[in-house]
Amino acid sequence: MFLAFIDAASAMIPPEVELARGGLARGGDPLGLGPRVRSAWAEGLDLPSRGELLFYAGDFYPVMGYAELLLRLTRSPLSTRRLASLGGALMKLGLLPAALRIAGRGANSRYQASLRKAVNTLIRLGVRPAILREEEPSFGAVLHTYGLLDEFSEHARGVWERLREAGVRTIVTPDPVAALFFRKHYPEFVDGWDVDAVTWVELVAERVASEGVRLGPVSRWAMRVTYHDPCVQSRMMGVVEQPRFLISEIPGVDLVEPTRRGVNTGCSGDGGLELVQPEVARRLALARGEELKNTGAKLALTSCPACLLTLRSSGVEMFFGDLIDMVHDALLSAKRGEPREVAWAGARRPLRLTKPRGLSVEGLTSTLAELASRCVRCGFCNPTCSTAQVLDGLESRSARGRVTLIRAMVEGRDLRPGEVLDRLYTCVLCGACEMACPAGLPVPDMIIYGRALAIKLGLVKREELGVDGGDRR
Amino acid sequence: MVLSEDASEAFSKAIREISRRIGGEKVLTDPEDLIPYSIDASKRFEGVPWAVVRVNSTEDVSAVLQVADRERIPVIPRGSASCLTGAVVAKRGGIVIDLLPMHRVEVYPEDLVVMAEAGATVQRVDEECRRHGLMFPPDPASSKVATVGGALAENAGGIRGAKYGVMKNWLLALEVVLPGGRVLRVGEPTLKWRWGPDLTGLFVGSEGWLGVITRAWFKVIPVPERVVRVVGVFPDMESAGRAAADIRASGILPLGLEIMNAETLRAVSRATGIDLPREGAMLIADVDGPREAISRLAKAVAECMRRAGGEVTLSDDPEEMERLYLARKMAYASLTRLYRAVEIEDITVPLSRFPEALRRIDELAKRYGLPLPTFGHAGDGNVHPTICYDPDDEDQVERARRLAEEICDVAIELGGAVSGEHGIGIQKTGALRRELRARGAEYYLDLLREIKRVLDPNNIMNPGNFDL
Repeated sequence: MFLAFIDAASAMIPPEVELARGGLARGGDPLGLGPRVRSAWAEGLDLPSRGELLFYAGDFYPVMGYAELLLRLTRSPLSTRRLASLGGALMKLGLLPAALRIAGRGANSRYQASLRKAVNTLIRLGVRPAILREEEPSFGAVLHTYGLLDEFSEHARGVWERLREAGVRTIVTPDPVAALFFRKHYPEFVDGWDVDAVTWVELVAERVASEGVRLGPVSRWAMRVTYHDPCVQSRMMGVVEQPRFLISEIPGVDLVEPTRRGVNTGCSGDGGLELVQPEVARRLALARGEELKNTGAKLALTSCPACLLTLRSSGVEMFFGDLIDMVHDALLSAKRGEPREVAWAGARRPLRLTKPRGLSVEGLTSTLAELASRCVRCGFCNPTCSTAQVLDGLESRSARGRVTLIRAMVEGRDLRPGEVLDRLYTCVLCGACEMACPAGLPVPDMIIYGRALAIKLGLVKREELGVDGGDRR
Repeated sequence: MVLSEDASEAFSKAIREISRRIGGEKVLTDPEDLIPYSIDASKRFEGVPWAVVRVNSTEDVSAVLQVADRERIPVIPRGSASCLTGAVVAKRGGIVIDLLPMHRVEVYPEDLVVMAEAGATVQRVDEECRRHGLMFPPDPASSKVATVGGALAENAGGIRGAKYGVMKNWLLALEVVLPGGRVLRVGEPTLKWRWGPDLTGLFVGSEGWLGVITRAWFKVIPVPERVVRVVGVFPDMESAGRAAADIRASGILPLGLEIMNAETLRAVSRATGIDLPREGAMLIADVDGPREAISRLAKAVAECMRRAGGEVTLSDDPEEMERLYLARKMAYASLTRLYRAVEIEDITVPLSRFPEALRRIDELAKRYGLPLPTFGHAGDGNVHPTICYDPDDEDQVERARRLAEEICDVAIELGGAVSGEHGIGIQKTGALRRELRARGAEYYLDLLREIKRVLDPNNIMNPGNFDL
């Protein structure tokens, strides 16, 4: 029954998502590149394959150069959709990963280098984590993000087993999305989940302060820089001070802040949007890129591979770099000093969990009905909504509009689930609405459950109408 | 409202014509796009439009109104739909004109004038003015979302209303598109002009019932040199109300004079984590003025509060001031977080009757046994008793309905109005009739109908509002 659902789901989801899902199923990552490509960054590293502390590279860093290539192709005259269908066919034949492997190697090397630098930084700071190399599982972002929650739930349980086999108690990861998943979504979906997760930025900042490390000057980084807060890191997990501490510790680096910063950061157009609605994603990336450039900085640093991908592909003429690279270099010429007390050391913001009452149509419906009934309809979320901002406040692709649509869906109004899904897929899950909501609604979670429900209702409808009578998009 | 087959065919034709004239990408007809446009912040009234047109210019609005008037299609102008009365809900179907894409703001600092298109938010207008050391005084609690067009159509007031009044007090000139597509310009962007009777007032508070406001010119003022916040905590609402009346009588005009009862304070504390007193009532007075005079004025305000039994603190620390301001701005939102259904009332009374109004509201709360957090603008006699109830409990729903009527009756008896700033929409039509009857002013509605017939002979503009 469950397997039948998985296959049926492909009738509802857009081909681009199907592509990523197929990649995950076949190769263990959204691009289907396979464990050897994914673990190539770790070649030559002498680290254990079991241990309480695991360095987790995540789904994006090891292959982001290939994603960059794919994103550039989608902006070519070929339409995304046609490309995705073509990609889907190639994926089935195992050809897409092969083609990407050959063409994207160059672009990928800098992301791989950042991963090695992240690990070496930890080692220099006296932390020796385990790495799982080819055995490292995907954290299933693609499944959760696009609302394939049955699959995500099963996948997450498998990940937990693998982590337990490796004796992992704590995960440190340079990918803030992975950290958020392990801190919030895994506890939501895996009963008994007891693995802690911390971002690389948090751990490194804490160690630099507590060990009294004085970062040294690096001539290639001595310039005016700005910092782009990834939404999952700042807004959702409350990690704002740590990257600024690290940057300010490096002599000769001058930090200037963009207008939207910290918990009020602006989206650079990822959150899965770049795959399903590239035009909106491109507008977001452009707007954010320009904002960073307007600070007068030469270089914008960030701490999220997905943000790096979208900013680097935004077309904005500016250098976009990884904070890891800068800290790594500054550590090479570091000196020992006195330990420093910092207010944020060890402080981990507790995350609010939203557990659906089951993943069936009934479970999702009752969960969403209860949440949506609490919406005040004030619209305070809308001016903060990333996508509404670049779409002149278009209500059906704004935070309040999506909640209204979800409410209509759970009330059983006559809607086409595929069209509802399309509106819900425009959300970048940046969480700005949640912060603005006077009723305190977990809007991004509602969007995810809304996506899952729309997919399921679409399948029910298709069955009623006969297999091809639905509204495949 | 569902269309007959013939009407539906005619409507489709009209929509095709509009698409052809202004661009199809501006026209939405998918139900999945329309349903998000079916609500406002009343949480009670809904109505799905037949189409949404996202206009970019006055010409776009004109084209829509030309076709809609010819084909007798209802038109509902809409900004952020943060209104609380159902005024922008498509009660009888029709076309919603979404004005958000029209959001240009131009400040003319030397003229002390700002021009804003209808879709710009009130907060943005203020922000743009502040770049030039100027401010846009009207400040509804929803200023972050409320648009200029909507705030004018509702004649919104807000927290700075005690001194600076409501939207109409700052309006110089208007551009309005009338049914049929005629573009009407009223007034000049100068601080004075005489074109005969001032017809800008015809559209202020009109709730989209006569035409579509597309842009407006306002006068603005320099940002006050200093602002000091004086906060008094009182044993009860009536004494806080007395202090407010006393402050006004002493000849000082605070820019804001906000009052909150214990139930509101507790709700805000619980919802926002801001530390506030849990008993009695709070009065927040913002006094603005030149540097040299400010401390004398603040002390006089503090003295009025003490005389009425208040415990007083003064602050000009921006962070502390922001904290309290947020507490007041979050009042309504906090209540919606704690109660499943809330209905916010909006009565005004003459300043001298304000303490009495507060006492009577308090008595009503006790008599009806429903939570009635009350807060508002003591500086202009406008108060928001907010009825909280369980929408699934029939008895409570009925009690809430009767309580709402009685609150409005308090305003009518004390010589005030059933709505100060939120407007009539659907919510207040009955109460407005009672108020007009009490004043012997029934002819007001007849005259409105006459005016409506002249400007909108086919009754396409937001039909169902005012229930006329």
